[in-house]
Amino acid sequence: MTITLTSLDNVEFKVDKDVAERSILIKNMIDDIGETDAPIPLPNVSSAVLTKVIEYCEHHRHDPPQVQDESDDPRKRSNDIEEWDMKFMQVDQEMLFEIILAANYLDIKPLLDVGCKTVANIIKGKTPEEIRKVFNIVNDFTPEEEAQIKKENEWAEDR
Amino acid sequence: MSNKVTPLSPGTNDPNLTTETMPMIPKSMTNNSNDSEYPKEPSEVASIKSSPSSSPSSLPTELLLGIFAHVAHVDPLRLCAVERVCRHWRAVVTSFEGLLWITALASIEPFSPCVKRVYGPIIKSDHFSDDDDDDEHEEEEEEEEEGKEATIDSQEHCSQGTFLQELDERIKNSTGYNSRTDWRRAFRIQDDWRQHSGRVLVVNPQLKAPRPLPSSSSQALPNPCSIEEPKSPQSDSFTQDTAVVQEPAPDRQQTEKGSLMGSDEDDEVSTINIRIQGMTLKSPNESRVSVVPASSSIVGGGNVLQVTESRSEVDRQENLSPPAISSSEGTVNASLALVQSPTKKKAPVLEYTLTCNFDSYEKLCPIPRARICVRTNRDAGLPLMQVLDWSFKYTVNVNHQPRVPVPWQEDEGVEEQVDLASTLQHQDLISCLAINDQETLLASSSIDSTVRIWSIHPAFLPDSNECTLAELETEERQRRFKETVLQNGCPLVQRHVLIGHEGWVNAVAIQDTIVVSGGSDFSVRVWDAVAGTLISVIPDLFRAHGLNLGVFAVTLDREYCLVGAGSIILGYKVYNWNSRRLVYDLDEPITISDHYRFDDEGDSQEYACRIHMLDSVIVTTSKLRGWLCVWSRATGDLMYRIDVKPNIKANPLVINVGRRGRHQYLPQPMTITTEYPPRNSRTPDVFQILNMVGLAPAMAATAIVRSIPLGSIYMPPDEEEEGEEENDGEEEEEEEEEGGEVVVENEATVGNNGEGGGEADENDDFNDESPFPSKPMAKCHLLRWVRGKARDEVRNKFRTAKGCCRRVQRAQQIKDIGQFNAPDMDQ
Repeated sequence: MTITLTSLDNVEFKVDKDVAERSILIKNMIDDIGETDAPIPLPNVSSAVLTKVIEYCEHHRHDPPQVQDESDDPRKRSNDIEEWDMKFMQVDQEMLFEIILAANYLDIKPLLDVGCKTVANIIKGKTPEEIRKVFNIVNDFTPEEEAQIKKENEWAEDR
Repeated sequence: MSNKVTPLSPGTNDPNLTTETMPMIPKSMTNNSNDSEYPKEPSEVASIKSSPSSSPSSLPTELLLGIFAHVAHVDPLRLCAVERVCRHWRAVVTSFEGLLWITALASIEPFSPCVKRVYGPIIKSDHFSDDDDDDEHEEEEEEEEEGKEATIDSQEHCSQGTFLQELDERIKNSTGYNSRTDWRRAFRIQDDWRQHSGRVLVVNPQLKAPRPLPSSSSQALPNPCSIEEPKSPQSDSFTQDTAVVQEPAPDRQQTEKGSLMGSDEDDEVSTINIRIQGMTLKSPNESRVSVVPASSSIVGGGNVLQVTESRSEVDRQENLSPPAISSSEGTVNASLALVQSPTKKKAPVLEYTLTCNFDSYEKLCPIPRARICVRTNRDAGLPLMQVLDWSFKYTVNVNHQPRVPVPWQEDEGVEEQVDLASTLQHQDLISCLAINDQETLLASSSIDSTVRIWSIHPAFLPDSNECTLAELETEERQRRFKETVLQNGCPLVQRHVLIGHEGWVNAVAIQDTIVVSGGSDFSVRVWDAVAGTLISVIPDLFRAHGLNLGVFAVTLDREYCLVGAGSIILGYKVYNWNSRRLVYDLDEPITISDHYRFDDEGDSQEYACRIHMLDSVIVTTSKLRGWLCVWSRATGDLMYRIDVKPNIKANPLVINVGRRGRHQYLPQPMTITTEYPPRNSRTPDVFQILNMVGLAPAMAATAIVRSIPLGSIYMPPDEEEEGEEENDGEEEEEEEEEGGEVVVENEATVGNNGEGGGEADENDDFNDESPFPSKPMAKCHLLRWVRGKARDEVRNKFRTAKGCCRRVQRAQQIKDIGQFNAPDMDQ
């Protein structure tokens, strides 16, 4: 059985049901309305992002369902991005954040996790200036504020 | 909108995105129906650009929080940097500060098996006193600490729990940045645990099968003397299957035992033995407790430090074949499979001898089987390589070609004229010597860019039907050595010159017939020592990391085709040389301040570049001066660190030998040059360079390492071993096993002293409703507890936010600190 998804820009995607149900949102929707041929609109996701998301879901279609949080190994949380996922996440930052947002919207937790980890790994080891530069964030602190925060955080950097 | 959102990373974006996309929106929104093309159509880009979400600062708060939680996990102190990025980020960090920092704290915890031990004394001493007296305090605390180490963990949980509870209180009551001091405290504890963790030794319950003995080396060599252990001829490391791995290898045990006995004979080295026996290991997946009597002995004396871990004789005799390992494909899977396969059998026998000394270019490599010792020299006037007889009386130069001592800077020109392959000896300083366990092949690496393989001349090996050379009287042995040299020439015969490295070869390791070398050309090369061919090259190691110094330490595991490499900078890397894939990146979690400390003291990490792969652990030198790191081979996690610093007076510490007790065969304590700088050195420049890259001069060192099991291992007091501990004036050690009962009171007073009256109540309360049972399963309960706190925290925060239900679940999962010791949790 295939499900038809419609993206923001009215592109239709036909995917297998088990692929689509990697998204809890769609799964719940299907559960609610029953199996239907009507396309499911996803007004928050553009077709490019949806393509990526479906690519992810298809690759992970046979993954076991999400284990409960109890079994999360903290040590493996950020170190175990699978190679495929890592490659999958090698996109420009706009796409990366779009994927994160889409994963959030579609409620695909593994993808969201991978996205967050990827961003965290980008942040890892960088100074505030470098972070700003990488993400193109404007420094909106006044010099006084900045000095104050720096002072507050001195404990982490002295010694 | 477009003026706010600019391309995030110009290098990866289409250059025309910012300029052209906006006008194209109307047209492309309607036209585009290409559903599978990923490279962005302008319309898609436009839609992205028009949304505010393409910058992390504009992500919804809960997503940003998820990202920050991961940051807190991978790089805790980075939260301070994150906070300084922009106002939005700061708002997120500050509003969820408690949550994030608890995540950070709990994320560090798994790496620090001893962190909980530190809470009590630290709370007492440090938290409410001035920072400056830290060092004194630590020394004061030292004895008290040691008194507690062997105690059952429950008491310590109380203090730990007290700390966390108190922390939690502070979080609840804190407003704004007042809680910073708490985090500071927490991380100071994290800093401080390192100071104490050296005495913590966790025996790895994840044991690997004894390595099958190689066969190819003996068959391939035209060596008349058989290798000590007979072995199954069908075993080949590249095609081995389960049958080989399961081999119990009884012969090898005898050999190991023999080597141990050999060590006992060498009592000239003043030694300090610490043995702790009767550890109880929890089998990871069974409720049944298997008793694995384990002994840890640390022998420090003369110039060497030994750490010996061995299973007792009982196990040895009852050694049962370990569970099958499905294939040799990667140690990760295999080891994990071993751990997870249900077994009620006792763990296989393991025995390591780890030797630390101070490295130099003057190396001694004893070859006990032939009763000779190979020495390398640094000074330009001396032969590069010499062979000594067992009493160090006679010396034979190995293919010595007189070299013209030239100034260091001009050496390069000279080198180029030499055909390296046709020479019988290295053309420049020898950087490393390595001999395989069978003592059939010796590998030497040199800064002349070659690795050379040597074998021992058959005439120097003992005949089987004659008494061994070892049993002869010393004078007879010397006479025989002399005669054999006169008849047969040099005891070492060069077999291969392995050419391929460009530039210095800094390190070499050999196992069976596989040689691994690492050089300044950033590559690690794997060679077949018998055929003299290159098997694999792993290029570009450590190249990206600034200092252009290359690989400085290598180790290998033939069974799993693993090669480990270390450099002066950053972590250690373990690769599979068949697939050339990175298996582990052993990146030691140290704090920013440690990095700063290196800079401040003009102290680089030059000494932190030794790695040795043992059966179930990987031992490396730490980035912290005078520490060793022990990593799990099954998971690549840092298990514990060993502090050798207090007992080694000099700075540069390297692990020199990681093999079984070969130094024990030395006829006398190692006599390595201890002068620095060497008085008669004709090449001071060379020496400076060598020193700079961590190949520092040999210096005397003794070391004592305390061995304390933690985590899932409970070690009952064992009076029987007390006597052995007091060998060399380590009176402190004796307190170790006795302190159990005292600790409860200590903890209470500790809390009271530190916190004032208010804290006493908290202590009491906590003892009543302690989340920690009085069982030694400490860490998982701590984590469960912290996780509960984190969950409450996130619930409270999100309750006010909209869409709380789903987000709570998600944030909870992101935040969640899972258990990492699942079987223990089940209890």
